Formats: sequence, C-alpha cells, structure tokens
Amino acid sequence: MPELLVLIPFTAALLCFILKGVLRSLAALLGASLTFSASALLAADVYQNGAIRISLGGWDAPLGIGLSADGLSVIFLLLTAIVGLMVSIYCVPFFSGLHEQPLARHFWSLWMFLWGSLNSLFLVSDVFNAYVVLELVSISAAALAALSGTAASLRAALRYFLTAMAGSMAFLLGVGFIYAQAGTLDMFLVGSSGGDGPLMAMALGLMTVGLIMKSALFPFHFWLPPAHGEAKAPVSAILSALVMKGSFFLLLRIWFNVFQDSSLTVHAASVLGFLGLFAVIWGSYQAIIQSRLKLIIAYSSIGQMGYLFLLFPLVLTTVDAAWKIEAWTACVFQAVSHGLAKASLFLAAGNLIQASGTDNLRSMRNIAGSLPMTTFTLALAGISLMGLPPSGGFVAKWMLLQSILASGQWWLAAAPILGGLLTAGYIFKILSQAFVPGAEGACCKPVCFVMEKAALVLAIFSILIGFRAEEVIFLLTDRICAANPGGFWP
Amino acid sequence: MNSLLIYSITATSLFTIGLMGLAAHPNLIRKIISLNIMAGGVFLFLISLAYHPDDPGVDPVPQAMVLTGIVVTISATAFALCLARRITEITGSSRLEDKPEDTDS
Amino acid sequence: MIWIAAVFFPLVLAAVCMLPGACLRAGFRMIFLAPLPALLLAFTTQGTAEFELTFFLLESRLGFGPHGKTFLLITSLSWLFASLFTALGPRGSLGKRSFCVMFLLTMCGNLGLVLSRDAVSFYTFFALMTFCAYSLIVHSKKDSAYTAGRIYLIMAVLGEGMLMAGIITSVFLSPSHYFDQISPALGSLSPGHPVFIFLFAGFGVKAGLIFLHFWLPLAHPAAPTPASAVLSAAMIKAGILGWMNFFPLGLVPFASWASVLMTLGLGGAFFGAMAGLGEREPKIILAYSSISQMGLMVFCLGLGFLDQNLWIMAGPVLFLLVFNHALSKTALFLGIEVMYSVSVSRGKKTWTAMLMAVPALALAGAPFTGGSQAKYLLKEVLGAAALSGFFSWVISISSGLTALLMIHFIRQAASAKKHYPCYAGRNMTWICLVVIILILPWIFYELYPRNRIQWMDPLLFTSSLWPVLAGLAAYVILRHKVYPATREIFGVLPGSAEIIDRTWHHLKHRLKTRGVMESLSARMNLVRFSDNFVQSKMVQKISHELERWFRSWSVSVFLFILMIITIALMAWTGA
Repeated sequence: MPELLVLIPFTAALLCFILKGVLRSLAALLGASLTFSASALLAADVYQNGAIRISLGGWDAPLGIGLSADGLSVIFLLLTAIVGLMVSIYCVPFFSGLHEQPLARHFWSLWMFLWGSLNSLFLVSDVFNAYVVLELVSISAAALAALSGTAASLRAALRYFLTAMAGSMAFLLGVGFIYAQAGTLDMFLVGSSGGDGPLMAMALGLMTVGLIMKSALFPFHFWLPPAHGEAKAPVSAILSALVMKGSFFLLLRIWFNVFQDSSLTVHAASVLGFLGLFAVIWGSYQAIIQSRLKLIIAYSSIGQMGYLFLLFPLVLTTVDAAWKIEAWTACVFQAVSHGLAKASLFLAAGNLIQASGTDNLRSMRNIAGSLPMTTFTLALAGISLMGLPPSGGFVAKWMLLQSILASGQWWLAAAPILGGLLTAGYIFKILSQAFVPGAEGACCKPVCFVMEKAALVLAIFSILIGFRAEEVIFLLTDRICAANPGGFWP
Repeated sequence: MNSLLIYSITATSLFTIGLMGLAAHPNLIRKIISLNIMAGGVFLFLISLAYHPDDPGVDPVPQAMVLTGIVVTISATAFALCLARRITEITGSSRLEDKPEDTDS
Repeated sequence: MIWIAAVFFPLVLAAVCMLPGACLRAGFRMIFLAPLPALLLAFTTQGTAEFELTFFLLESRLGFGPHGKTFLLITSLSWLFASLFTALGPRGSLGKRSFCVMFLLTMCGNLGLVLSRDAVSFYTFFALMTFCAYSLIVHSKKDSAYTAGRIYLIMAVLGEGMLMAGIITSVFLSPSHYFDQISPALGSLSPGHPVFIFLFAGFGVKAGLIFLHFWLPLAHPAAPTPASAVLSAAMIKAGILGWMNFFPLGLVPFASWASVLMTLGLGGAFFGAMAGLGEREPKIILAYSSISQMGLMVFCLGLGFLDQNLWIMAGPVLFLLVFNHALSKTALFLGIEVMYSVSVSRGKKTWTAMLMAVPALALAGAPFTGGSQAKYLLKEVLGAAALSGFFSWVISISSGLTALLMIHFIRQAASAKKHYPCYAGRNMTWICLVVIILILPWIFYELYPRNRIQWMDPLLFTSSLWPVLAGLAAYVILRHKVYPATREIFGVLPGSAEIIDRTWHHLKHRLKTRGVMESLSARMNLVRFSDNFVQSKMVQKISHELERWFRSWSVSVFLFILMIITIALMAWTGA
C-alpha cells in the first residue's frame, strides 16, 4: 500500500508529460484522485491495524529502501492528499486560461512529481533517503516556483533553490556524522546506538539548521516571500501548505525519532522555541505592512510556521506525559489547519487576482460585491488562522496556551497572544478592503465556478478539523511507528 | 592519529569554503560552483567512512550514498544552471542581487 | 439525538433562512419551531442526564448539570414566546434575512451555553450569542441604535476579553475543561485569586451588574421588541449561569465574594428601580427594571456564597426569581406592542392594561404570584443566615419600589400615542404567556416540591401585600412629582454610557482628521490606518532595512554557521 502512494503520482507525472489537452487533464485528475484514495486507505489501515513498515523490492536495509507509515506520517499524508486533490481540481480550469495554457504541461508533470516526492518524504524511514527525497522536493518545488517565467520569479526560484541546496548539503553532512557514529542510517535504530558524543551533537546542529532553512524559520525566511509571492496562485498554495510542512515533518522525525534517546535535544530545544517566537511576531508584523495580497499571505506563512517550533521546548522540557501529548496535538493541529487555511487563502487570492487583474490590495475594489463566495472563503480561512472558535486553529492555539501554562515557560505565551492579534490585523486588512465600494464598472473578469468552490472546500475543512481532536490524539499516541516500540513518549 | 578526524576536518573546511563562496560571490555560476565544492567536501567525508583500518573489506553503504549523492547533485546543478542561463537571457545580468528598485517587494 | 437537536436545530432553520425567496418566507413563519426541541428536552429528560459530543471542539459535553434543566426550561420558554410573537406578526422589517438568521444564531448560542458542561463550548456559545446579538440591536439602523450598539460592542469586547483570560486560567488550574472538575479545583484557591476577578467582571457585564450596567438601558430597548424581550429575559441570565458554573458554589464558603455580590446586588436593585422612574419610554423603563431584578438575583446568589448549606436553600429561590423574571419580562416587553396595537379601542386598552398587571404584579411580588413565593423563600434564607431583620425590610422596600416602577410603566405604555396594526395571533400568544405566569407557582412545585409554601398564611399574605399597596399609594400621592424628581436626580449625573460615547467620538474625531476613518460611516478603514502607520518613514525604513539585511547572502550564511554552532554547542552542553 505505501509504495502505491509514490508510484501513482510518478506515473501520472510521466503521463502528463506525454499526453496533450483534455487527456492530460484527465490523467492528472485520475492520478490525483487515485493518490487521494490510496492515502485515505492507508490512513484507515494505519488507524485500525497500527503502523506499517515495508522494504521496497524485498531488499532489506541498509541497501534497500524502507517505507514506514505511522500515525504522524498518516496525518501529513492526509493533509497532502486533501490539499493536493483540491489544488488539482482548481488547476484544471486555471490552466485552461489563455495565458496559462502553455504552462500546463510542465505544471502538471512537476506537480505530480512533487506530490510523489512529498508522499515519499512522509514515508521515508532512513536518513539518507530522507536527503534524496528532500532534494527531489526542492528541485520540483523550485521548478514550479519558476513556472511563470518572469525575471522576478526566476530570481526568486533560484534564490530559493540555492538556499535549499545549502540546507540539503548541511543535512547530508549531518547524515555522514550520524553514520560515522552510529553505523546505521535507519531512523528508528540510530537513537539507540548513537549515544550523545560530539559527532552526534554536530550532526544534530547541521541537520536541524539545514531543515529550518528549508522551512523558512526566522531568520532564514528571506527566500520565502519572493518565491511564494511571484509564483502562480496554485503553486504558492502548494509551496506554503505542503512543501514547508515536508521539511518540518522531517525535523520532527530527526528530533523525536533519531535523537530521541540521547539527551542532546533538551537545551537546543529552547533555541528553536525562541526562533519560533520571533518568527510568529516578525512574520505577522511584516504581513501587516505589506500592500500586495500574495505577499501578505506569504509573510503570514512565516508567522504561522513559527507556532510549530514552539513544540520543541514544550515537549522536551515538560515531564508530565499528558502535557506532552497536548503540545504534540496542538502542533499537529496547527500544521494541518494552517495547511488547509493557507492553501485556501492562496487559491482565493488567485481568484481575486484573476478577477481584478492586479495583486495590489488597494486597487482591488468591491470584492464582496462581485465575488461573494471568495470573500466568504477569505473570512473562513481567516477565522482559522486567527484561531477563533470553533476552527482547527482555535483548538491548536487553545492547546498550545494550555501546554505553555503547564510547562511554565511564560515567555512563549507571547507567541499565541501577540500572534493572534497581529493575525487579526492582517486578516481584517484584507477583509476591510473587500467591502470598499468600487468605481462603476471597474471590475471584473468572471472567475470559474470550480475555482471558487475548491478554495471554499479547503476553508470549510480548516474549520471542520476543529471537530475531530480525538482521532488525531489516538493516531499520535497509539499509532507511532512499530519499529520503535517506545514511540515518541518516554 | 585517526584518519577519520583528518577527513572530517578537511570535509568541514571544504564545506565552509563552499559556504563562504556562496556568500561572497555575486556571480551566479560561482555560486553554483561553490555549492558543488560544499558537496565535494561532504562526499569526501562520506567516502572516508567506508575505510576501516582493522577490516580488510570496505563498507559498501557510504559508497552507495556517495554515488547517489553525486547523481542528485549533478541534476540539481544542471537545474540551477538552466535557471541561471534563463535569468541571464532575460535580464542580461548574471547576478542574483536585484537592482535596488527590485528589492522592495 | 434530542440533545443535538436542542442546541443545533436553530442553526438548521437559520440555514433555511439563508436560502432565497420562498425559503426565507417559510423560515420566518416557522421560526417558532427553533426552541421546541430544547423545550421538549427540558420536559422529557432526567435532571442529571449528560451527552458526550465527542466530535465537537475538544470533546464537548452537553448536559443539565445541577441547574441546567430549570435554566433550559426558562430560556426555551422565553425564546418560544418571543419567536411565536415574531412569526405571527407582519413580515415587515422582522422578515428580513439579517434579522431571522441573527435571531436564530443568537438563540443557538443561548441554548448551547445553557447546556454546555465544559468551558470551551460554553465560551464558544457565549461569544456566538454576544456578537450575534449586536446585529439585533442595530437592526433598526437608526442613529440611536448604532450608538447603543457601539457601546454594547465596546463593553462586550471588554467582557469577552476578561472572560477569555478567566476561562483559560481556570481550565489551566483544573484537571480538565469540564465544569464538574473546574469548580472544585477553583474552590481550593484563595478568594483573592485573579481568576475570580476576571470571571466576576466578565460575567458581570452580561448580567448588568451595577457599575457595569450602563450599556443595558441603551441596548435592550434599541432592538426590535421580540429581540428586546429575549435580551432582557433570557440572555441576561447567561451571566448568572456563568458565575454558577465556574464559582465553587455550595462547595466552600466564599464570604468575601458573598459580601461583594450582596452589596452590588442590593445597590443594583435600588438604583435600577429609581433610575427607571426617571424615564418615559416604556422599553427603557423595562430595561432599568431588569437591572433592578438582576440585582435581586445577584443578592440571592451572594447569599449562596456565604455557606454551603445556605446555597442548598438559596439555589431554588434563585431559580424561582430567574423563572419569574424571565417570563414576566418577556410578557411585559411583548405587552408593549400588544398595547400599541389595541390602542384605538378604549375598552380593549383597559383589558390589556389589566392583563399587563399580572406580570407586573408578579415582578413586584403581590400575593399568589411567583414573585411573592420567591421573596418569602428569600426571607427564609435570610432567616437561616441570621440576617433576617434589616434585610427583610430592604427586600420589602425594593418590592414596593418595583410596584411603583411597574405602575409608572403601565401608565406610560397606556398613554403612549402609538398605533400599530393588530394581529390576533400575537394577542393570543401574549394571553397564553400571561396565563402561564399566573400558574407559575404551581409549575415550580413540580420542579422543587420541597419549597411549597402556605398561601393562606395571613402573615405571608400581608407581608407580600403591603409593599404593593404602599407602592400604589406612593404613586397616587406622588404621581406628579416622582417623574420630575428622579429625572432631576439621575439626569444630573452624566451617564457612564455618555462618557464612553464621548470618548469614542473624541477618538473618532482625532482619527478622522488623520484620514483613518471613512467619512460617511463609523467603520474604521484599517487599510488606511495601517498604511498611515506604514508610511511613517521610521517604521518603513527600519523594517525594510532589516528585511534587506536578512536577505543579503553574507548575513544569511553567517547566521547559518552561527546557528549550526549554537545548536551543536547547546546540544553538547545538554548531554
């Protein structure tokens, strides 16, 4: 089952490259829905029967490639599947437009390729393959970012790619240190054989910084706003909602699987917590002062990703297992609800840009009058980002505050409080512009019905996710990888 | 003393030199070459892991890693070069540093 | 299933009202169906039943708890009559989509908060109710309504902020977010803990506690009459319910909070009645009377804080007060419209005024009404607390004041020169409600059989009759003096509401001169506001320079190396 998750998108990518016109769209949609169903089936399987681990082609480690699916990876796979399916549906009408048509071939094959790489990233079970898959993700993501072909987007993509390459190199050097010390690459075995020597400390530093560079944590966020802001709207949605989550997922694996048994991570965690706190404040502040819609959303991603990094100090300094689970659940909820809400925001922004022909917030007038559904989508996704009840973002921030109070690290509470206020600031900035009446007949080009619906569905999902906390907690506590009986919890 | 230390120091120095190059050179081709120097350092370190003084055979895993790594780096370099060439074609400049008016996004 | 229907059925109807054309018309006519599942639930289900709503928020729990059943009965009854009154009237402005949807959403919030047994869903429903009620208040789109709505919103946001702080802290201090674990956990704290102050003030705004009350006489009358009725009758009780859910009532004595609540409660009871006498608009008089009656309830709640045993006695009294006030206030508010609609015929008008006297007398505590029963029981509680002498007199005097206020109200309502079209359905609804108020004491026996009292006891009869007669006599004697006199006293004091409004206007003026406000509406233009902020050169330059600094390759590579070394060193020291 897990291998299908990689196989289907890769095949679809090839087909999309060969086929033309309607057939290409059909192949892409078929690939997307098959991948979606495969993810859902795998999730159901893991939920009922526990974590899965297989070796591709019957070769065992160290030479073979192993795939493992546990509760954490299943959650991220499902997020990818939902966002991926909706983005694919959105893109069929989007890339049948006059300007976008020539790009369709490259977009579909690159996107399917990226989807396959992301799936394998969530399933990977040894650190070296993690590096390879990480590079696949970076290459396809940078190529997608460069898709529109303007000078600004090419520069942004190359800057992103060079940064990502440097991060990958640091990660690979860390892999080398791990192998030198532990003699194995398996994520779930390194922990018990590695110990906590200086080589392992160096490996932790290299891998962590390589990964936080890729997930645009403050102060390494410089590449993100141009890359996400210049790309096509669905591409920005993919980059913000999924690609950033990919490297964050790997960071979770490194910290809590690879280094789980060593005492290395305790002090270093507060560094990540500090950076996360700064990211929340700086990213949200920058989002408020931007005047272009997509840049607001891009900077908001930096802020929202910052919340995720509060997990490290919260989990690693608390003794009580119940609060650890609370922090874990908060983080996973934040990741999922941010992924859904951000994808929905970027897709809705794409609709607005298509309707008004500009990205500048001040020249968009009377959005609410001409695109009521898109305005509603913006409001719903905004509710989830701000963390108002009953959205997924509310559950995340509620649990985060509770575990911050429990861990006694009061300074971290500045993140949800200040971050929530600043988020409300930029969401209202977007929304208040929506109701400014425009000049007569100034707007607007029609927007395809499907495109509005796809964004709305994602926004509704980001609200509804708040209703299902129980299953997520179950997946995180009882369905953690079988190769690692202790799980995340000491 | 042990060869692992020498190799790892050399590798780290190469890695750092590559990083410095990435920072210092505005020219795109030089940046890409710097990345390759970083990669060279990492591969040197990996390949040195295959040798064990008290073991006659060599460990195949690091060699496999380096081979795979080289393939990945080649394709990444090719892609970066493509992007760089396209940028030069469009803007006529082989630099990434934007002109002052482009920087305010 | 019925639990879910009780809370969420209004949402289904709201969804129907969102649909265009005929659906909206049908939804408007069927609006009275919305509180029926809740009413059915209150009648059919056992008093301690609970229902786990695992899929909602953080595993919510619906249930009655120790006092939810009575509250649900009260809330759903007053919503039922208000919505029947709406549905049987003209479509006019009440038939607009904004009113129907917001009315139903507010109802969902109110019913949901009564049934919530955990802090998170309680807060969610509370916020839903508070913020949806805003659009009911400004529904008439008059300037006065916007002023009232603005002050309501300012106070609501302040209240919600304090509530959020209080609720988060209280959940943190207790093992879970369920109420049955929160109040024991809070019971082990000292009464001076800030969490109590937050909760006290947060719910106090909603309950119209004196000094936090000034939004109430503006906001409640501004809404359309059925909405005023539920605002004053049902929603205002959410504050009391909130205190009862969070504070450790009946577990530990909280003497300091008891004295605070009792003092403020009596203060409110007297202030409300006196200030109401200085008004002429019937709805405003009723709003002040709500402040006065809420003061009595807060006093009763305060008695319960004194001692565990007292709460066992004071609890049913409080419920009876709540019950009596909710139904009477609904009847009085709806009665205003009935009075206006029959105002052409003098005979009908007299009949209406006489019927209107029933809820009025019930509020004042005349013999054979729920009010007299409540006040008699309240005096018994005072006796058990050894506070009987002085406070019994105070309660009787406040009854007399209420009687005076009610006569003033009926007279003002009857003499108003307004003529509304007459709807038989509305009048019948109203008469039904009056009948229910008449039999209220017997309903209450069914709920709390232990609190039966002897009606024929001459002492009880006289003690509940004389304040009403005194009030009547005072009105007859002072008829021409009482309005100007109180007007003079309370007109001199500048209302807090006015101060807030002036501050708001001052701020608005300052902002407007800087081009932040839209010149026509009171809406803030946040884009221009933030642009003003952004365009200040300092801010722009600093953040711009910092972003450029982060973007330069040498800085990022330096930070890259620095971070690797920092994390590796931190890891190494940790090991």
